[in-house]
Amino acid sequence: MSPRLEIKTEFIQSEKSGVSLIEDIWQTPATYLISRLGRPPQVRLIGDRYYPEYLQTIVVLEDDPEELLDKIFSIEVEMRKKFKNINFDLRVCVITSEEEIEKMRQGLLIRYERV
Amino acid sequence: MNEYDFSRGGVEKYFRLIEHDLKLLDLLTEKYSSHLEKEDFSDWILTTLFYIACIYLKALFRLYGEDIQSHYALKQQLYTRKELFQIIKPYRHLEEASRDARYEGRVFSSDYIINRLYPKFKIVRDCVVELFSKNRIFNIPQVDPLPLLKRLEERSIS
Repeated sequence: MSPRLEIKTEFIQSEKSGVSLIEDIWQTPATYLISRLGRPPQVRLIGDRYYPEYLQTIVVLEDDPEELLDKIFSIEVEMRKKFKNINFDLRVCVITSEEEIEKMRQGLLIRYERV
Repeated sequence: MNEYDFSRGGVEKYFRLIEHDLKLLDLLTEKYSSHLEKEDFSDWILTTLFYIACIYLKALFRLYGEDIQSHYALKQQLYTRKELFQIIKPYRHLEEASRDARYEGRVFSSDYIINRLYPKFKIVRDCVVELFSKNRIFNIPQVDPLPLLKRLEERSIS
């Protein structure tokens, strides 16, 4: 049985928070990544963390098969073009410990989570 | 002195750094003292591999007249130069694996390092060496860490 997936769609509508109005919806690099990536089973969560100087988009994977990394880094190239006015850092981490995943959630605005 | 000559002079120290970092990799992959033999230093082995790739690129950007002082700045350059598009994905995998190692304590199997990350290091290295050659600089060290990394396989078998 495939895992149940959930996409959270809250958007912060503030340019200071590092989001931009594109195609009539508010998108962040994380929401763009979600829309392009689909729902690979290895993706545990995707979220944004806001720092004063930049936005960090965090992808937590439970495993990192080559095809998945290739796809994520291909989408990152698109993200660099699409969000060229936003300072963002894409962090792709492989974490399997529930405890560590929980720590990673702290301060993260979750955009996608495999429930 | 024109910009080209200035940049050329500035790259030599990075060439030395590449060789220095390879010696660190030699140290990290050799047989450990008995009190360390159960330690897993694959995190720093991978990180050193990444740093060598990073220094190759830093040398290249120095050649181009750019002084790179952060990983973020390096990435910005990477995404704006067409001749480097081919190494974006391999470099990013090395970088993110290294961040996992440094910040999350991730350790890596010899198979992962040799068969997934080393080939990506090689793509970055070969691209940079070729671009140096096109600029008629041929003394860039083309280091090959594979024999050192193979020691990890031997260790895991024994």
